[in-house]
Amino acid sequence: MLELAGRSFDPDALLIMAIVNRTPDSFYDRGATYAFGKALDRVAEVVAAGAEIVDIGGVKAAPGDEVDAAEEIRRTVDFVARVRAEYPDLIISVDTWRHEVAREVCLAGADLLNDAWGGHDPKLAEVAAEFDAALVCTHAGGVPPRTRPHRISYDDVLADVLGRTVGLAERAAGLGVSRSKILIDPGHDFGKNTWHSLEVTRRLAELVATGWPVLVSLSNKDFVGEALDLPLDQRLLGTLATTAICAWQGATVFRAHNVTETRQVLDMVAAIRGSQPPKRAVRGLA
Amino acid sequence: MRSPNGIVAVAGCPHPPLLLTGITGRPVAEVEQLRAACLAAIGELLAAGPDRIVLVGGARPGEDDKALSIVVGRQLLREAGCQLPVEHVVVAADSPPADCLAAGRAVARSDGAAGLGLLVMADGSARRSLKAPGYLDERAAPFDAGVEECLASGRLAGLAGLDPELAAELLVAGRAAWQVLAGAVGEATGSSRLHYSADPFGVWYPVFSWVPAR
Repeated sequence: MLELAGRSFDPDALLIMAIVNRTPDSFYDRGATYAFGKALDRVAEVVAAGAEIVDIGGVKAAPGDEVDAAEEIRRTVDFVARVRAEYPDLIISVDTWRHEVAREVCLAGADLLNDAWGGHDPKLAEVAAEFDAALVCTHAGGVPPRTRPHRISYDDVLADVLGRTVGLAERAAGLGVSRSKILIDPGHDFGKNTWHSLEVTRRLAELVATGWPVLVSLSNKDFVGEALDLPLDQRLLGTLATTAICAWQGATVFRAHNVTETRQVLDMVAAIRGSQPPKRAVRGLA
Repeated sequence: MRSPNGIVAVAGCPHPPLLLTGITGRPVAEVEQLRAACLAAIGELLAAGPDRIVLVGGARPGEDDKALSIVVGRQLLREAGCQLPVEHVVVAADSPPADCLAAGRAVARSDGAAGLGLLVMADGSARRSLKAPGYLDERAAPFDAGVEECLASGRLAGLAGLDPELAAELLVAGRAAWQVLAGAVGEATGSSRLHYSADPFGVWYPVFSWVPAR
C-alpha cells in the first residue's frame, strides 16, 4: 500500500506525476514555466487534466549552467509553499538530489522527494525520514548528478537496477522513512543508453515483483527518440506506447509532461485490466 | 381499489441490459433517467397496496426466470424496495396473441381474492433510427405510437390487437408481454400515467403505471 500526503493507494492505482519545471533550460519545455506565474499556471493546468502529483524541479537533469543549492532553493521553496497553500490536497513532489534543498522544501510543505540521481547525497533519505516525507529511490547507475551516460555497460542492467533501487529503498526504510512511502524508479536514460532503457522497460515486471511501488519517468526521453529516430517534438506517441507497456506490467506512478494524453492511456489500461470500469458502456446493451 | 379481476395496479417498464447494475461502467445519465422513471412507476404500483406482485415478461426458449425481462424486473423491484412475494409469468416472445391473452386471463383468475400487482416488462421497436440496433425501419415509429396511445390512455385492451409479425420485424421485444397484460386486464378501464417515453439508444422505452377505474 502506497501512502502519499495522507492518502492511500492500492497496487492497482495509476497515478500521474506532472512535471513542473522552474528551470530556464529543461529539455522539453525549454524554460516555458520558469517564471513563477507560468509555473503556477502549469500546476492549474495539470491538476485540471487529472494529475495527482506535481513534481517541481529547479535544476535541469542534463549538464548545463551551474545551479547551486542556494539558487535551487530560490527556485523551488517559495513555489512549493504557494502550491501547498493553493492546493491543500495535491501531492507535491520536488525533484532534487540535495538534502539542503530537500529540507527547505519539506518545511514549505512538500510531500515527496524525487531523488532522481540515485542517492548521490546520502543525507537526502535522512531528511525524508525526519519530515515523514515519501521518497523515490532511483537507479542512475552510480553516475554523478547532471552527467550524461558515456560508455556505460552492465552485465545485466536489470540486475543492477534491482540491486541499487532496492538497496536504496531498504536503506531509506532503515533510516526511518515509512516503508509505505518509498517508491523505486529504474531511471530511464539515467546512466543508461537506449538499449538499457528498452531492456528495463521490457523487464519492468521484475521491478514490480519486488513489491515496492514503481515510478517510471519516460516522458519524451531520448530512448523513445532513438527507438523511433524522432526529434523531441514528435515523441508523444512513443512515450504513450511506453506508458501503456509499463502500466500493464504494474508500474504505479508516471512522471509526465503530457498529462491529458497520459491520463487517457492509463484509463484505457485500467479499463482493459478491469481495475476501472468503462466510463460509458451502452453499445449492444440497449 | 380492486377491480373484479383482482388487479390493483399495473406498472410497465422496458428491460434493456443497460438497467442491470454496473453494466454501463460508470452511471450513464440517459440510463439513470430511465431507471428513475421505472422506479417511480413501480413506486405507484406498490403504493396501490398489492398483496403480491406478478412479473410478466417475454423469453426466448429455455430461459424461464433467466430471461432478461425477468432479471431486469426483479432487479427494479429490489431497487424500489419491494418486500412483497413476487411470482413470474414468462411467455415465449413469439407466442401467438391468443396464447398471450389466455395466459393473461389465467394470471388474473389465479387468485381473484388477492390484491394483484402486475409489473409488465416490455419495450418497443429497436429500429427507430439509423443508429438503432436494428437500423431504421420507417414503420417503427407508427407501431410504437399505437402502443403508446394504449398505454397513455389507459385502454390496455387495445394491446390485444398488436400484429405479431410486424412486431417481430420491428424487433419489438414487448409484444407478447403487452398482450398478456391485455388478457389480464380484459375490458377493465383505468387511468394511466406515462412516466417515460423515449428512445435514447434507438429502442423505444415506455414506462407507465395504471390503476383500475373506481
